[in-house]
Amino acid sequence: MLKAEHLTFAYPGQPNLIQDLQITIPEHQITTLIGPNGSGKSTLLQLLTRQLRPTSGTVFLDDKDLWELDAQTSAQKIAIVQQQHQLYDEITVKDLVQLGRLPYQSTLFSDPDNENTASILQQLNLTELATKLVNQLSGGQAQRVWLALALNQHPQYLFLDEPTTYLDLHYQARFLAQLRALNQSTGLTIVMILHDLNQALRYSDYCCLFANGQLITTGTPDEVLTAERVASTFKINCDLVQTDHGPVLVQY
Amino acid sequence: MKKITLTYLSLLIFLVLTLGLAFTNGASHFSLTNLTTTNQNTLFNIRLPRILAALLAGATISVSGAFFQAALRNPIADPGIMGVATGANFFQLIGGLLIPGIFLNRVAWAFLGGLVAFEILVRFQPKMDPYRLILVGVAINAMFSGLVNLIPTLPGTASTSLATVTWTSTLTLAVLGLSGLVLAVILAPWGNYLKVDDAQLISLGQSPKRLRRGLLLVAVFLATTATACIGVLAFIGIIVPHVGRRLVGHDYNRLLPFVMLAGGWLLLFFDTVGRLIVRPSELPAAALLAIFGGPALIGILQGGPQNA
Repeated sequence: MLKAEHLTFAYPGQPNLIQDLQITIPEHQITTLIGPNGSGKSTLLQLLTRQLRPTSGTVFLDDKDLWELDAQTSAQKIAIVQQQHQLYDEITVKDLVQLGRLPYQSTLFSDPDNENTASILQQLNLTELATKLVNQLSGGQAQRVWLALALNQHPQYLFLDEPTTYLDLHYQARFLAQLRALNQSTGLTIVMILHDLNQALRYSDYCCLFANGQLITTGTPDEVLTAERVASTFKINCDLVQTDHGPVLVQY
Repeated sequence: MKKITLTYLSLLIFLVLTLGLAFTNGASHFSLTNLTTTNQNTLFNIRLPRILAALLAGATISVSGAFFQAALRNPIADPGIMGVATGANFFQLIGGLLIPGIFLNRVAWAFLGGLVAFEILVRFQPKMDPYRLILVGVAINAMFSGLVNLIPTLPGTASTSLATVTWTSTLTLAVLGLSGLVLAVILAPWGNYLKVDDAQLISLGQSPKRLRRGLLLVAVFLATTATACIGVLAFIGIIVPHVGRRLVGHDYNRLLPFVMLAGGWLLLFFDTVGRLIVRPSELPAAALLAIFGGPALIGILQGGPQNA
């Protein structure tokens, strides 16, 4: 189980961005963190994934303080797909995805784990692209590659920070559908930050709504994303319209 | 035939040809099949240590350059441009002044000098901005070069070069350089790890600082060892890795063996040409490398540093 208790965080020289937060991530579900810019979603994601150390409070992973685990053990359980990716040199798809095995290897004298890597490439339909350079791929293909890297860590928790920001509509839908399929087939716990509330409605099991560093409410997407709550949090007018394919938020 | 196989085959042919020229030519020309006592003395006490030193120094400086580029994520970083080589040269001259006659002492001082130069670089550019790093490196280069000119030329304080190698310096380079190269091969995967950003490395349970420090320590060790033995060499640490990436790819496990072989050959080639074209005099390999390396670097930069 992954949870945070009395979590407080401030960037140096800044007031508390997150104040005394309590949150439990539901297992084997897709949880979406939503809220306006600056509400603390990305910061919370970084706190939950050991990228930032809390000012006070604790993040517990399986009842252990996340910061008391060694870095490799933590990386075996938690994987992240960043919002933006930077590559400083050319690397093939296979070699990049192979880095996902680093949490299981010694830093020196490690054998490449080709079997796991090949399996992940096949799972995400990347086998044919294995020898291609990552910087030569389309946006949608590249995002699948970074997802493959994270999945090659065989994590219990997969975090994604705005994974659809740089994708067109088609690849956004494909990517999110792929996450849903992964969750359903493997029980992988997925936590992602999304700005598109309709995507949150469609692809998540659980939502956490943030504003001003506070957790406003949690629950199923239907419970959280009511027209009134969206209006008060995002300062926009909208209606929740029921369609044959589920509820849709329509701004007016 | 695969590109990599052809590349290595071509390199081996160039190496054999250059070795043949190097062994039989210099101030005097002789055949290896009919050696007089004088020729044997020339071959074993002058040419052989020089050839070995060129091969080893070319290999170590080229690998050092490759590791600087990986660790600093900067395709035109190398020990020459970073000021590490001139820092090493200045300190080894100081070491020679303080404790003359012990070669290993100069090597130790060279390593210290390289570390000092790199520490200065990092202090002025803690964020490792690629272009500012080069500018600060150029400034450090100039500073240490100026300081070298202030050191009086006394016995034991002259800068080293390929023309002045002895079996002592060559064997020192062999032991230390080969040890460093073995370590470099072991750490080669770290060059691949550092292709992703620090946040990604941390999420994979790695310490980016540790990876960078490891590579840089080996890079400084290799560069300063070579500098102590044969002096400062420019551009070879950029050109050889750059050409290597074009020919064998960007995987450091594959790149490093090529860089070692090609770097060794390139320095031997320029040293041999320098000994042939104005014999019985000779042009220093360092000068020839600078003459040809400068335009080569401009060519690399014109393609954009991201293409280096």
